[in-house]
Amino acid sequence: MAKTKDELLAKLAEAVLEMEEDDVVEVANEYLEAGYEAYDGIMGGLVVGMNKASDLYDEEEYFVTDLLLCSDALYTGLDILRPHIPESESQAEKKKAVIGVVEGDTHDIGKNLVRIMMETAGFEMYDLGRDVPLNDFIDKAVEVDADLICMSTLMTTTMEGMREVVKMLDEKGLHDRIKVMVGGSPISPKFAKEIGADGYSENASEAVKLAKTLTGIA
Amino acid sequence: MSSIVEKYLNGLQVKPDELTAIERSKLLSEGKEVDRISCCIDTGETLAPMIGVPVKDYYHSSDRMLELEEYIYETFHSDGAGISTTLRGMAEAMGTKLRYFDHNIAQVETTAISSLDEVDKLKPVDIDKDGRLPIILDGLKKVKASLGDKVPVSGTVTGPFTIAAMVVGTERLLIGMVKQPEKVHQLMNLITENNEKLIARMLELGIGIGFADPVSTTSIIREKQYCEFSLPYFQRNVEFIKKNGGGAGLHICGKSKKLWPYLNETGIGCFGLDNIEDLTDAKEILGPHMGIQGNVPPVEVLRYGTVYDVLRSSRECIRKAWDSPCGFTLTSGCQTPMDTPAENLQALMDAARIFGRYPMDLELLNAED
Repeated sequence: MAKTKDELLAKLAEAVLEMEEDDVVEVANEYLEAGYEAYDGIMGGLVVGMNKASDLYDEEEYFVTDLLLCSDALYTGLDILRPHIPESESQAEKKKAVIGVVEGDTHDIGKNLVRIMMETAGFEMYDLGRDVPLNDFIDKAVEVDADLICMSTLMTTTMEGMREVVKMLDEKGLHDRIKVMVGGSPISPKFAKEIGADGYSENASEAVKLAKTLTGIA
Repeated sequence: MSSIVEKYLNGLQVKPDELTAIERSKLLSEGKEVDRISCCIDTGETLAPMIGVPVKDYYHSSDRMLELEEYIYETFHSDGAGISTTLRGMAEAMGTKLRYFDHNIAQVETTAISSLDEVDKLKPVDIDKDGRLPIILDGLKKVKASLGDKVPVSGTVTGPFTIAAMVVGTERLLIGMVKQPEKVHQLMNLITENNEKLIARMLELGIGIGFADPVSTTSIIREKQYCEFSLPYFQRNVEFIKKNGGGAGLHICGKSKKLWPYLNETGIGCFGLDNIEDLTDAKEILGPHMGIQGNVPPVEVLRYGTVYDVLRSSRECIRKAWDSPCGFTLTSGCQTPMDTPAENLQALMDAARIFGRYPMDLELLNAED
């Protein structure tokens, strides 16, 4: 018997949460064959699963490893569903954020998790990668008309780079429209405030809440 | 009346140590009275700039390593001296390529293998040839010869699980635990054997062994994964040390409290906790089984704080843990950040001399400013 849309959405969410890539492929195809809207499949299925994973992470039921595997399943599903979204729907206005690990630092798991969770939450993400020259944050933000710059570092020696970026934004008069959020294990709320960043978050799920607050969508 | 912290800021003469570090350590191990609690400055590559040495040069010269340890001992009279294999040293010896900087710690450029499918390509290390291992061992030999009669010397090795992260890449290792567990075990076996070879050479020098295992934290992996993929291999290394008459300590960065009951069974002699964990908990759970060390916040307090902040934070640590059943050592909660002011390290040591002096003055220790 054919499954209802809600049943399939629940299965998509569950497959992401359970990190089952094969199941995601199967259910996503079944969902499309049944003629349901791809956009709903993403927002009501895949993203719901990823958000649930994030909640479990907050509750210390899930760990970094689990989030990495859930996100693999999420992206597998996105690859299948996205091509079926009509052009008009995918053009919907999204908040944009530039993200990267500051110059001199090559650790990027934390940054990747933040990118994934923000993408899941509906942000359009521009990932500059790791060891990113400080100017690039601003150049890219201007180029794509970003609302946010998100910077991460794991080392004290590169923390000061964040201060530079904020300073450059101030000098160019761009800080009013481009907010800055920072994170990484050596960073504290106090340091974030001191360098003039607009916010600090301790982990990926908090980063999403912060990003929403800073861009005025929550 | 002004507080002792204010007096210190206004030039209070701190009563000097009455014992050398090695005398203190010996008396403590015999359960006898000493002049003050132990206090160690977390030394290593991040302190190289204090003696004007580019970090890159420190990594590659046993003489620079010795120079730093001599400086730390003579300047601060820290209760420990030593050299670390550094988090990436064993991985480098196994084929990981590092990038070195003048004013930053080394970072992984390319991992030794780019997939767990390549584990078969990895070989046992040659301690006398591979990576910087010969330089590190030579440095330890020199430090032991120069300072060994004054201060306990130790060599730090990396926990096997953290080495694995540096050999194959952290993300690949984490996903591998779920998708290719047998390959991860194969990798862990080889790493454990390689570590054993290095440890054997350190033990020949008559020094203590410390482990740094930052990837084995419940900030990253779950308890079950720790028990399956990390603990058994760490345990093998510890057993090897104990079988050869040595002692071992461990530091885990980040969250670790859920792992403490397991550590109690490993036979390690001390554990250093990260500043995000609490010394009161550590005293209760680990304290009856081993010495505990910690945990002044390295970034907010030691690097970016003032002398005032260091004294207050150190006092807080001493209050919580000075009477831990198997001993307490005041130290940083993690690696000392580069560019930490010397006066803050001095304040850390002096906090042990002021608040940690025996007989313990509880009124002074518990007084508010």
